[in-house]
Amino acid sequence: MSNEIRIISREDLPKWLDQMLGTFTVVAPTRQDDYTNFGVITSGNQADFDAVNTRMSPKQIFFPKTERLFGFATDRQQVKLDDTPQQITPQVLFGVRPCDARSIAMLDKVFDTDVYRDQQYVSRRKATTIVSLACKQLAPSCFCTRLGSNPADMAGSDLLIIELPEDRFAIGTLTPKGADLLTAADLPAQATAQDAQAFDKAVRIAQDTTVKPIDSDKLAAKLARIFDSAFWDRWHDRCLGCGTCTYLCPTCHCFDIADEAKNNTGQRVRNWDSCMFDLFTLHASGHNPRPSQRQHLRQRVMHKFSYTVDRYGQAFCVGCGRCVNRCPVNIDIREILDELEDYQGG
Amino acid sequence: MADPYLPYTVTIRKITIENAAKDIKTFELVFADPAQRQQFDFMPGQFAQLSVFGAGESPIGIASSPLDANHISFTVKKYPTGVVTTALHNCQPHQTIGLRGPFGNHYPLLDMFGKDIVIVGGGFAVTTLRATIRYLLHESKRSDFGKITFFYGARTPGELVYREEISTWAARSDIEVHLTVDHPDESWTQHTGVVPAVVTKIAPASSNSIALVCGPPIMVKYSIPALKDLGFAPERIITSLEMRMKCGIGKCGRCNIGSKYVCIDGPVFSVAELERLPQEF
Repeated sequence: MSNEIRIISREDLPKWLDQMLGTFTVVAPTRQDDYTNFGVITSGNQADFDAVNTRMSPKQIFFPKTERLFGFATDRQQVKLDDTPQQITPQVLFGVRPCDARSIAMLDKVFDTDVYRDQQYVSRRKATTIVSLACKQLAPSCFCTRLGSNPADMAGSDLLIIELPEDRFAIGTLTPKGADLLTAADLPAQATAQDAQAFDKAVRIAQDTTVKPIDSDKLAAKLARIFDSAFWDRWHDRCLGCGTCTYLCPTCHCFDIADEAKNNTGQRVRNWDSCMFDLFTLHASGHNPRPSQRQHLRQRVMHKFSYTVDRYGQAFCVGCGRCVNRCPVNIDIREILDELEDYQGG
Repeated sequence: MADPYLPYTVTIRKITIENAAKDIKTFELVFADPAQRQQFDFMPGQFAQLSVFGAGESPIGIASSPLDANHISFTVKKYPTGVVTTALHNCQPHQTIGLRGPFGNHYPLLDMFGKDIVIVGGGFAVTTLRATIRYLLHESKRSDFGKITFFYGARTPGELVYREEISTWAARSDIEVHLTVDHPDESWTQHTGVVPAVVTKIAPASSNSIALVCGPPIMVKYSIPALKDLGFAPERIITSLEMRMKCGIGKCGRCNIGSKYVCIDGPVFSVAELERLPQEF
């Protein structure tokens, strides 16, 4: 449970953001036409605290869609490389939903390990304080509880804000980084014992759920067992291979490396990639170990619910529902999970 | 921790055309800074990412032995659709290219210690096996291993790579070389037929022996039962896999077979290990 609780009114929330703007770049959900996405705000009033969730996940804040690895300049025989790191400034990622904050803790397991520290990713993570906003309501596509999470999950957050009655918000301090952000501000006030209890109670209510979470170890073992089974015969039938699910997914992190050059100067970049595409695994020889949508879709499910369990000890799905919402042909990962749990074939 | 995406810059010292179709070339590379050659500490069977700046990177097996102190070489086949392999083939000596690595695991030299070694190769995939043979035959290493039998085949005599070097091996008494082609020409005097059939015919002893197999998928597929029939246990048959690979460090997500990444858990696997993985390669 959190060390320290502070309280702020709805009216003061934008003001608190304004205070942060003096020291930090602040990234928060902002309205864009008919949807909400994370964007850099210049005033606290621009933040949208009520959207159920953003269209894109916040993963691009740490792992951009396209990112320069280094620059190069070549003449006939010489090559000059430029690996000057990008300037990274302190920032606050505000109003992240707990499912998305949890996904960032998962990406840390990929990009920040003892044998490999992704310089850009880790620098951005270090420079960022994550302030999450617990969900008041779940969207029809939400299924965080099935993944053993809940609308007030604390994983990955530095501070967690929970709305209390009468337009007041309780802020739970989860990490020293979160505490520093609160210390720097004078707005959120000390909570009364009653408010602290209200925070704890809200967390307990969020956790108290009637949904039975998937047993990720059991599911991973089952998936490995039924790799060649008829289970995979139909899900891909209508899959267009558009890759929307992987681009919107907060935990999908596969990437491509490519060169962009003009007139002997250019850069090597890392771009998001997708297992839904044929090119993802196509060899120069023409051989493709995963040639059809059947294998692509199976790879996505296996990677999320089996391979990551083997490698990182947890399923890489947080139940945000973006893939469910935006799939143009309504492939629903929840249905796949339901049927997987019931599947008896070998 | 060094940036794993930043390549060494290396200069092409020599380019050798390896086959009649002229679409296989060996590139001998030297490091701009000789100290980097020491840093580039590898074992036979490992691979690296070669890059032509502006075209991109491609994963290629290391064809030279770690005991070749001054240079490092790669044999690359050009594919019509291969952007990087085509750019590499258009390179000239003295040109500077990029090199990242070494990546992956290597042939199990510790397990091979004191054993007879059967090496089965096909086409231009023989590259890392060539690195291995150069290593095994090195005067400082040769006495560590037993009998060495090398099977190597291609469609036609002109498609056998490293011909000159292989003929120097054939002249030695401490390695037995069996070459075969599917389609011989008039001057061909050695075996005819596919590699697995020659392995079966010559029947190298499997007791205290380990087999390394690398070649086109179809050759590997039929060599494995041929070796098993000779008494090689799946743990004693070692092969190396190819995959499209971008990062080389188990992050970019495409080269997996089940939960194993070919770039870090491979490319070298025993047949016993492969039999436990999904058949998706």
